Amino acid sequence: MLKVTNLAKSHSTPQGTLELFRGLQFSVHSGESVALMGESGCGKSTLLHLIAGLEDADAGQILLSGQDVTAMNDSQRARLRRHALGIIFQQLNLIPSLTVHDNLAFQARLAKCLQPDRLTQLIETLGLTELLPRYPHQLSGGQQQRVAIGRALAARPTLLLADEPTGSLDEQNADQVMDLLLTLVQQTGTSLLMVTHSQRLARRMDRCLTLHQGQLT
Amino acid sequence: MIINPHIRNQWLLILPISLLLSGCEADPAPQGFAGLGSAAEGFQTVSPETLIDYPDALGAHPDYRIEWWYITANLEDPQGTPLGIQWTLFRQALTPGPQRDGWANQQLWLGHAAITREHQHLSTETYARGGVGQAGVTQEPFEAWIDHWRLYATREDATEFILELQTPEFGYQLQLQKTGPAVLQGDQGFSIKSAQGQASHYISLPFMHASGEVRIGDKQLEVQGQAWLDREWSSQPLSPDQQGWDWFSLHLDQGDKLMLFRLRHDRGEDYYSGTYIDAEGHPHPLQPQQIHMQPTGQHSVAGRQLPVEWQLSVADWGIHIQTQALNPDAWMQTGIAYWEGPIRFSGSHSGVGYLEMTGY
Amino acid sequence: MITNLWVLHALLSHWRRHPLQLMTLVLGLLSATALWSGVQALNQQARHSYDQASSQLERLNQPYLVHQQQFWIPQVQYIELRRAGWPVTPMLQEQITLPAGQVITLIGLDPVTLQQSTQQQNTFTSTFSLSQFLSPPWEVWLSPASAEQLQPLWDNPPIQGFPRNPEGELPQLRINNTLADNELITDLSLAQHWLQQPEQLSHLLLLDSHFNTPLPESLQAELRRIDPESDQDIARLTDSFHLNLSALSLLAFLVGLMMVYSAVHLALTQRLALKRILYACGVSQVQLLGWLMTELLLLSSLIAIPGLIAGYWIAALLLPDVSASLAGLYGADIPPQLQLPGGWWHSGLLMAVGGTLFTALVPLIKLLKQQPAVQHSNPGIPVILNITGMLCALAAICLALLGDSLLSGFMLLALIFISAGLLLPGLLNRLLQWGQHYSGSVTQLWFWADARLQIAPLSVALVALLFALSTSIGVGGMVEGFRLTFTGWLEQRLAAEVYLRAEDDEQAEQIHHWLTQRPEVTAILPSGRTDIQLNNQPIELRGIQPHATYSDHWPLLAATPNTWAQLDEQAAVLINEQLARQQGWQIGDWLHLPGSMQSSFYLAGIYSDYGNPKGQILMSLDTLEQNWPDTQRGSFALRVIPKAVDPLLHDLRLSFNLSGTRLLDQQAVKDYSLRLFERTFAATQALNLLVLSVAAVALFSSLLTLSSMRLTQVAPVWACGVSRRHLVGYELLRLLLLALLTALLAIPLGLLISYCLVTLINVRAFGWALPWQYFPLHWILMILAALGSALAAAALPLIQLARYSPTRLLQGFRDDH
Repeated sequence: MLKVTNLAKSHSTPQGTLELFRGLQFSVHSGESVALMGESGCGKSTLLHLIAGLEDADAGQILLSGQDVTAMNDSQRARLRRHALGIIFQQLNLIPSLTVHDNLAFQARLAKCLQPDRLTQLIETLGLTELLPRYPHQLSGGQQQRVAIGRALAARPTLLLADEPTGSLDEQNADQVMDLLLTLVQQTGTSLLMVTHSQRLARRMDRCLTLHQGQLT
Repeated sequence: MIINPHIRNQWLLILPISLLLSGCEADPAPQGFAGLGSAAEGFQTVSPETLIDYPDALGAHPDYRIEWWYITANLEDPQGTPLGIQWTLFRQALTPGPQRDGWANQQLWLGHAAITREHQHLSTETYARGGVGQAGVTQEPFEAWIDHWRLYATREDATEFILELQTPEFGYQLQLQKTGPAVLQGDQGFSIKSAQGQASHYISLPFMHASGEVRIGDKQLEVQGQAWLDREWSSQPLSPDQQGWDWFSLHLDQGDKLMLFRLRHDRGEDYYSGTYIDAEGHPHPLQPQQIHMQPTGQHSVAGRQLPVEWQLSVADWGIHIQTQALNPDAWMQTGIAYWEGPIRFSGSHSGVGYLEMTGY
Repeated sequence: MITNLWVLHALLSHWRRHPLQLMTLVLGLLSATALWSGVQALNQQARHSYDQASSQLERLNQPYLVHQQQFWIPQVQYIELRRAGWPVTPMLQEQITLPAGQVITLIGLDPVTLQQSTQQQNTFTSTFSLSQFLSPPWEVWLSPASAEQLQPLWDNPPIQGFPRNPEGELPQLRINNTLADNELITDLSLAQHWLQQPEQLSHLLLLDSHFNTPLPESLQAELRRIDPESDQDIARLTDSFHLNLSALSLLAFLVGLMMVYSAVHLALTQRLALKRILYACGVSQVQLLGWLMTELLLLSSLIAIPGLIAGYWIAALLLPDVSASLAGLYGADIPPQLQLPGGWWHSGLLMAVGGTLFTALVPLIKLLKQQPAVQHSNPGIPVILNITGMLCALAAICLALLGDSLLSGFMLLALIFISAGLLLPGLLNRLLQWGQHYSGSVTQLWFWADARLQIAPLSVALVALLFALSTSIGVGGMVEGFRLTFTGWLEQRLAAEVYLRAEDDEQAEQIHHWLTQRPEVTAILPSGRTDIQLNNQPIELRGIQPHATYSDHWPLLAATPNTWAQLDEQAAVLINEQLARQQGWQIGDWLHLPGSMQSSFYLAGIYSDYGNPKGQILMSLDTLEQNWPDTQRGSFALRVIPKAVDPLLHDLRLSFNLSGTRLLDQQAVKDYSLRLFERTFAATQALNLLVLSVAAVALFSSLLTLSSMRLTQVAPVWACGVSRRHLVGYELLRLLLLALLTALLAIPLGLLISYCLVTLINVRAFGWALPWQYFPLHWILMILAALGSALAAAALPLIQLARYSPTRLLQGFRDDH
């Protein structure tokens, strides 16, 4: 499903080049949910961005369903994200000027795979029915993240990348959102790679990877 | 000054126009090259019955729509450097009918002139209206003029002429001596121009000795050589789908002359014609199938491709020659623009001549 | 495509959520387009009417031949010239009186010879058929207004004569709006017929003005060559005026674009998060760029249209003033109705769209280059700004030392503006740093430091304010200085009580005689004038009768010790400042004037002559008449006992039936001149005011958009225990400080600009220099204006801040990460 080999990435900072990781290897199987842990600034988010094709790797290969993300150009990567990936950030996931409904349908519309039934089902599962005509700033943080999950899954991605999706939520809200996320991932058979700081959350996943000093353990 | 403003508005005269015309032709959608293929109702039409003789043919034929007096000369300076001159007076009637007097006269006159050397080609033109004396042709004594450009006979029998032209860039004064007979082209001067029957009356003086002075800028040159005068008149010399022609006048070294032309059609086959004139001045009209004209070298001039090198064959007269332009850039920068310049040829025969190519 | 429209929808919906930002963009682009296109409309209208007034000035600027003894030239002489190689074309021009009584000019010409030298095409050509022009029933070309006038005659023609042709038919009317009114153009044959002048012409126009061959001997006594007067070229004279207007409108355009820049910049910055989401949803960089461009194109073209309409409206509003000043300054006649060619709309639209895309270029690149993961941080003031600013200033100094044309003068001004604009943020920063250095308390430290932080986001608005203020100080100072100088000059120059101009020599004699009988007239001062050409420049010669009125009052810039006595006794001359500058003449020079009997004239003085576009030479009337016998006389200045002026004017009017413009008292002349002066600068001042208001709006919109970003910067201070009321106070104070500093910096800049205007631009454009004056009261007004606009601009955002609930302020922490 996802196969990362020999991946290397460094950031240039005013203090010089900072190597995040080198020779990184791991894979995520179809339908598998994997937690990615590590200290702040160790490069977890960057790793996610690399897989999503939002940043360029220095070396290595990222095979997603057999296609090499690192060899793609900008528009190929965009197409890949549109059709095969769902991405959820910690916050600010929504287009502030669009309603909840339009936000939910946005990626699916771009990917031309909007299925109204499926969307309705998603909306019900996520408990968003009442909120459809609202704008993002009229939602609570937990509600916003639920919309973000809905938006990411409406386009039927094969892999969901989540960067601390509940990081800005209180524990109760976080659990609620996480329950929904894991349920939906299981229901749809989507693979999940999630960055998290929480051991508790990580334990709920199939597998846990820890990034430490540029190496995965 | 502010305390005494005066509004200045007393324009003496006002000129609103600048007209850019393509030659004399400003009517919508002219047909054929330079409108020569336009229909000509109301004008006299050419016919094979018309008798043509010299020197009457030198005079004007205002009942026909169009005519020209056309002189080309292949000259040399005392060092033997070749040089060519062209001098043409065109007449065109805007409307048929009786000649109106004064400025109301329907005739337009157009002069084209050029001088060509190996690395230099200068061309000019001038326009005039008939009826007021600025341009015209008189029969006896013969004179054809436009402004200060003149061709006039110095003998009553029209065997000697003076050709004059002065412009700021160049000028010439040449004595032309007729050394052989006038030659009727085509069928007794009835020259067919297309399979549809378009034709003109066409008579030439191919045997002329030229001598005199040529000026280029401030430089004067003594010159002499051979000249060729064409007189042609018609009311519709081209068919509407003929877009141009390639015309040759050749002085063969042994004294014979050859005139050939090809009229190019929009569609269908080109029309060929010509006359072989032996050294005694007897014309031998050529049938289309006797003539082979093949471009062999293209040259880019004025943004167009022109065939400046040709293979010419008239097998029945044993002629197989290759022609070359003296100056491939001999482009006439005139209202109606075309290529016209001196050429030389070699092969079965050698000699000099002139080539005119229009409609490219 | 349809699905991708959702991207555009997502982008555009941003504006719905930020209507104020949209308003800034609209206002900026609207005012930029309106001011620019408005002034362009004025310029085009003026140029069009110069062309219209003269039909084709440049044609007439060619020499022509006329007959020496009579009006008509026999046609044979034309043929003789042509056959001698002369490039001439025949013309026939004469007035004809129509049955209804109106007089119209008939022009016959020969298009065949006329076309020869003209390689340029104009609108006339496209519909022109030579054969129809030359063939029966012929054609008559005329302006739409003339056509309207003549149509009844065509509908209901007389049995014979005009407008029937020799065959009794009516010629075709061909309407063309490039032609002047009251003129008919037709073929020579028809013109000769209508004027009943067979084989006669009136002028022979030389097609090649460099043709200098002498006339053939047989014609030397018959024809005369006349070379055109170069002063007919109004367009050339008025160029400087239009350049002035253009420069001011370009400035307005730039200030407007600065607003566009702030709006676009902010809109793009605020959509950084949106960009991340769009990327996450699978929109590529190229697509995003494409849609952003589409959005800008859409917005700018939508805004440009009302902008153009507003421009049209501004032009219509200013046109009376502009045409009055052009008429007063140059004698150019501009019709008061706007008629604009289609090109005006296109170029205005292009300018608006192009300007928007240009201003958006940097923000767009910034947006695309920023990694989605990296958050936007406050950029500070780039060093490159200061370096470029210094380089521009250096270039300005070089240009000031080396340039001597009007264009280089304007380039100098542009460079001064650019370098000032580039250097302003750095300068402000330095000033605030200084304040920070001397600050005592921690709140003060925060106050100064935060003010410095605000320079970068506010810099565009502050630069706009700087430009507007300094332009106002510069242009206002120049105009005010001019007004003072001009009024003083008029006071001196107009010393006589009454000015009158007789209709002809005979009346002049009568008036003179009549005046000598009047005891209240203490002096009769006749004057004369004639025009000559000097190095292709028109020069006006004035003759006066030397009198104490002149020597006591006439203001001189430079003079010999006994100028006026020399004028009287030694045939010396005085010249105006324009001529002195133009020719580089100085006191003591000996002048050679064409056409005079006397070989040279001693230059004894130079006087200022504001408002006159021409060079002028003043001499005694005797000297003038001796040397130029064709002098026009009949103008008088009268010294009259003041209380007898009105009765004298009354009697003069009654006795000689003199119209209002021929007989004026001193006050009337002064009033007239001052009124003209006011109108001349009315357009300038109106534009000036518009620029200032645009700058105020720019500041307002910048603050408004900034206030939302400020939240995160203010929240920690609030959290540390500064009350909201204090926060608002500090914010306001900080802003007023920035505006004040900018206004203070605008004063030296404005003075520099006014210095350039009076000593460089005016001299190069008009030929006269003005003393450099300054008006501190005006500065104070400008400072107040700056503070006022800052206050107005800050009001709304600050009220917002004051009303923010604590939770809203708390969000400042949550959003900031």
